[in-house]
Amino acid sequence: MRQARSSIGGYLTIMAVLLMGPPVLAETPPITPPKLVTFAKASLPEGTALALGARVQVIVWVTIGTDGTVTEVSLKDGAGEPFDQAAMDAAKRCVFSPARSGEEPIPVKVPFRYAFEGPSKRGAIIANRRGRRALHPVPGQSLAGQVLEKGTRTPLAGILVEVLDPRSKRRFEALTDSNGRFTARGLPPGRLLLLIDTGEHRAIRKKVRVESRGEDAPPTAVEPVYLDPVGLGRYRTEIQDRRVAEAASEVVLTEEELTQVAGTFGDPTRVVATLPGVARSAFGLGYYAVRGANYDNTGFFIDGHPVFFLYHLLGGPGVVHPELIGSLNFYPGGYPVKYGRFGGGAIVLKTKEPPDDRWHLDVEIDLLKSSLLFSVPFDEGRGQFTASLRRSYYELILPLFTDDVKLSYTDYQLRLKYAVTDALTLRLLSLGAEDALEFSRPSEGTGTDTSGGFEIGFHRVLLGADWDITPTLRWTNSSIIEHDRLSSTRAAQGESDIDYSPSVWVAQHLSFVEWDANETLKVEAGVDVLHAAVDGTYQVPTPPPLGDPPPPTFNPIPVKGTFNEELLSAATYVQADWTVLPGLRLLPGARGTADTYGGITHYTADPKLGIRYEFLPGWTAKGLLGLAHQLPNEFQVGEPYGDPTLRPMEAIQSSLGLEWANDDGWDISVEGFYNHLSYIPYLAGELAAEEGDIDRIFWRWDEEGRAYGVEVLIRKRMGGRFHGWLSYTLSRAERRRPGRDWNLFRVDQTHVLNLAWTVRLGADWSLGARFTLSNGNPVYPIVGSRYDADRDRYQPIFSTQQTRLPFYHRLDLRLDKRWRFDTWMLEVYLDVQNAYNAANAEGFNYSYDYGKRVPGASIPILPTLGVRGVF
Amino acid sequence: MTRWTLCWVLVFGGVAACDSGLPKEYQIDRLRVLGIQAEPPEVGPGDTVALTALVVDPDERPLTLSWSACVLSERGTGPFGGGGETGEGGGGGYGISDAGSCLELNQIDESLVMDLGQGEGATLTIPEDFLSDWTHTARAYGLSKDKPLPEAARQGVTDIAGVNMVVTLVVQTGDETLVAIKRVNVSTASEKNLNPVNSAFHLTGVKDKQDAPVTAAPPGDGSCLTEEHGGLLSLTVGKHFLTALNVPEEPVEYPVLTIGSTVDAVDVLQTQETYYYSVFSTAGDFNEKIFKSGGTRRVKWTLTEKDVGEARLWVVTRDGRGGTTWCEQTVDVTAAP
Repeated sequence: MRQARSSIGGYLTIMAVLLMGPPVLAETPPITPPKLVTFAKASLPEGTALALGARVQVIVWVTIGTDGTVTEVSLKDGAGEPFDQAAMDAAKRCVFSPARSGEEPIPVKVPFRYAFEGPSKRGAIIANRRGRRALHPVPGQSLAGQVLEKGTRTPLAGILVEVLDPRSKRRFEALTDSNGRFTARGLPPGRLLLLIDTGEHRAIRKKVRVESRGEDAPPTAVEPVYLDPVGLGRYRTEIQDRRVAEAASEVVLTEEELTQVAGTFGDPTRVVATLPGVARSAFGLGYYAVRGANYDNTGFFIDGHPVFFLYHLLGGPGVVHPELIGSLNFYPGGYPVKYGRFGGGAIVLKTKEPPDDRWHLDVEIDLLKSSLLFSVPFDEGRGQFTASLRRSYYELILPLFTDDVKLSYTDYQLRLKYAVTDALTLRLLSLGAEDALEFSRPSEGTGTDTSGGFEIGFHRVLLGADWDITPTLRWTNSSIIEHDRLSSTRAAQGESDIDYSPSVWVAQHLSFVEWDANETLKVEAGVDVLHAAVDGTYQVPTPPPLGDPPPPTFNPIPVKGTFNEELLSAATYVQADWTVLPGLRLLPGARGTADTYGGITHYTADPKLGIRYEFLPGWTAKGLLGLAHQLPNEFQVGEPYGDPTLRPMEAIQSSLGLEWANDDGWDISVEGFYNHLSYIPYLAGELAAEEGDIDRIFWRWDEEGRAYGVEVLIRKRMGGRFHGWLSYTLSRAERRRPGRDWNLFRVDQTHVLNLAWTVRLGADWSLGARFTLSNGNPVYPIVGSRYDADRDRYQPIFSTQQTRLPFYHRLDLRLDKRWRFDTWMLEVYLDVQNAYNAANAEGFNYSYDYGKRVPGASIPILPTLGVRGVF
Repeated sequence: MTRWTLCWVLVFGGVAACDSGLPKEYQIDRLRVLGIQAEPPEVGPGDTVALTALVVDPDERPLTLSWSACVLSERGTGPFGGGGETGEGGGGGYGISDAGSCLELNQIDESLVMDLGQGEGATLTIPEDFLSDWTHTARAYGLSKDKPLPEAARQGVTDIAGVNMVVTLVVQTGDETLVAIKRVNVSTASEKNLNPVNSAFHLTGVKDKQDAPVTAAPPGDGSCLTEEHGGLLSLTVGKHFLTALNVPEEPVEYPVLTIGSTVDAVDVLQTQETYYYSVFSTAGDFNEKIFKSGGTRRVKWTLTEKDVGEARLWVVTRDGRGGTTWCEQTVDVTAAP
């Protein structure tokens, strides 16, 4: 047998790089696969030979680090020795340009194929007369084409394309480049066969006709070839998501995890409800009490800026189209200091990069709304434009049930990104939403018609610039101008109208520098300046007059006024990611803020320290200690009932925990936490005789809170046939006011269990389930009543001992089916909330004298059917 | 559309709680206290008040009425005053365990409670020093007992707002006990509130399309309905309008002390009296349980075949500042012709 030799070019097979799950959506974020820079030939031991035309293939797993070197090699499909060892030894010496997620290099694990061939008749090396070798160009015709993934039109790189001449049985090979394009050369003219068999796609066997053309003529072009993923190969998540955590305690969710959890109706922000540390919110509304903090203590950020209005009214979806959300980072405490002004956790959303090589269209219709999203690259991919619009059609549905309620919502986003140079990128993001709710209560001819409405809206424009000053120094500037408005009105015959209509202009500028000092130190520093101006009018009820009983029915004595408040908040921060020792990372940060409102400036400092120590491979200890402050909201400090002397709330946050992760995508985290809250504002409505005058104290800020517990998260990351997580929180949250003992916080839930799991059934079916089990919220039971003869109303008498509502349990199911066509996909889903119609009471409804009670309303079984076309 | 379908549609939207088959407040099917009258409703220190109560019992059992008076923390003086199931009482300066009746206060400190005896009525004499003793004002409004207001400021409070003496009525029969409270306002105002008078109501069928008069002579015997202008005293099943008459053409204007309607402001506002009519019956359904003197001044009363027979009707009139009066009527309900 002649000497075996490895193929001249190694066969690099790179599955599509996905952080976001399978490339089911053309709008998957841009993952640049690694590229082979230096190929190392595999050397067989002396004397090893293959028969003429024989071919031996060895596939190895290659882990490519962020610097492009191979850090680990293991056997995937071997052919036996000595081929296996030869392939593994050679693979270790290969060098790549690293894979990237956006701009950031990421480690990846990819299959790498070595082919050992026996001698063939072609490709002989001819020695010239002077003894030196010379390569002659292969004579023949050329065939060019492109290989794309079916449905998503994603170019597939590193695919081996074979062209077979059925007459001579000769095979010709080519590899696709990063754009999925290939050119096979040296072909004979005539009818040939195009063969592609990756093992992860349906094999392609296609007849092509290669024309006979001159030497300089362009190759024969064939139509794009669409590869249909099959089996688990369609779930191409060989990427080991080991992106560096930005905080001691962080959960990062990726696209499919965000949009396919059962019971969330595809709303990414509602997935947070399934994570540890999060108390269940009533009616599935998407506001969260995290680690014992109040609902408004958890901040939502989109591309670095806080969101003031996150959900549409009455349990509607989030205001940002889910397909625009690329990732969601959840910090239950100790969030990075670059985000500020919240005393609890942070939910950080980052918008997604659309494909830079093709246009994309996403159309979705379900029972309650429709949405449209379109993106297109321009200037050879340097720029991308995205637009989306969503609109409800409650106006068509609600009249089937009632004429007393009208509801509508709309949201839109426009996104423009342009790489002016390789180092400078400009961004424009415009997003907004408008919601309107009207209600009416006809009096049936008795002349007491009541009507009212509630409108809320916001419109934001963001301008950003990212400048890579050097490869290790980036300067980012991002500004928003935003207009928020709220209007709450009520009109009733014989009563004064009620109108509360503030309008807010917000401007914020973020400017920060990120510096990779070296392999062990990253530093970020920046400033964050925010200005908000409130205007508008109000006509609202005065507090009840002294001495008079509250009237039997609502009959307001109105007071009119105008809003005229301003807030100026200026902050500076610095944070670092310092690998002190191998495996030991310190994450210190500090933020100083000056907040001016009501003519008073409040200075706060938020220091934080996070530690992550990987003391064994896969084992990480983590801890954090930090301080966070939160301003009172406009209602608490502004007219007519606010108190501008309210000081910012303060939270001391701490946690200690352990993480374990393996290469098969399993993560386990156990974390204990303790939070202490001070200066919590609350409604007091008290009278006080101070300095010889009687005054009303609307707000007090001397409530304190504490919360402690343990959180467990067992997670199977994207990849393979199933993914999901089990989260469990055991905790206690309390509040105390001066002169009183600690009492349970109104949303204290001792046990909160969530199981969110998705199973891929094959043939593009997937089934998801989410089960929730939690304690009921604490309540002070009503043990009697007394009749108020002036108000003609009964007053409840409360027990001074708290008890709890019954346990809450619910199962949500989601079934997805996708059909792939060459250039588009059709998806149908059925999402059923409360699949077994559990009667969970969110409270009680009482008879007029509190003598009888029935469980209050809860979400019944609620199915949603949706259809989506992705182009 | 079913009630439950609407319920979960609205509740999913968080709009309102829904009817869950609980008893309706206007239906009289058990022992109830419907009103308490203090004559007069607003007095000065040293004045005497006559107390009576409207207590109804469909079973006509013997009742024991016990009266007491005390000063309690005002409830609901805050913008969102009142306790709740999910949080301790807040607003109004009271806590969840604060006494809400003289019965409860008596268990804390019986020296703070005046026993007014038992009977269908009672008499309450306001102590002469009721307003000059700061402790009463402090307790009522949640102020510090040790930091009395200067005399001028106190005068402002007592002239306009006054301090309420809360009367507690305990109705007992067998093992059933009801507790009710009523405020008697004690002030130094020169013009004091009076109970509503000339209460009269007009009943007509909706289909009759007959306008109710604005005024009519009150029945005078404690009954509610007038026959003037075609008013009905007996009805057939169907829908009827019950309209309040003799509403003062020019509502009484009076000052109120709100305090802090805007930050740091002490507001004395002029407001107008409104009459509130609470309806109760042993038969039929009302579209509202309370209707007001503003607007058309009427409520819809629907009677069906199951209501044929004798029905009793009560209407309690309140002026929103402690004044109360009531009337009672028996009507025959006949089947549709």
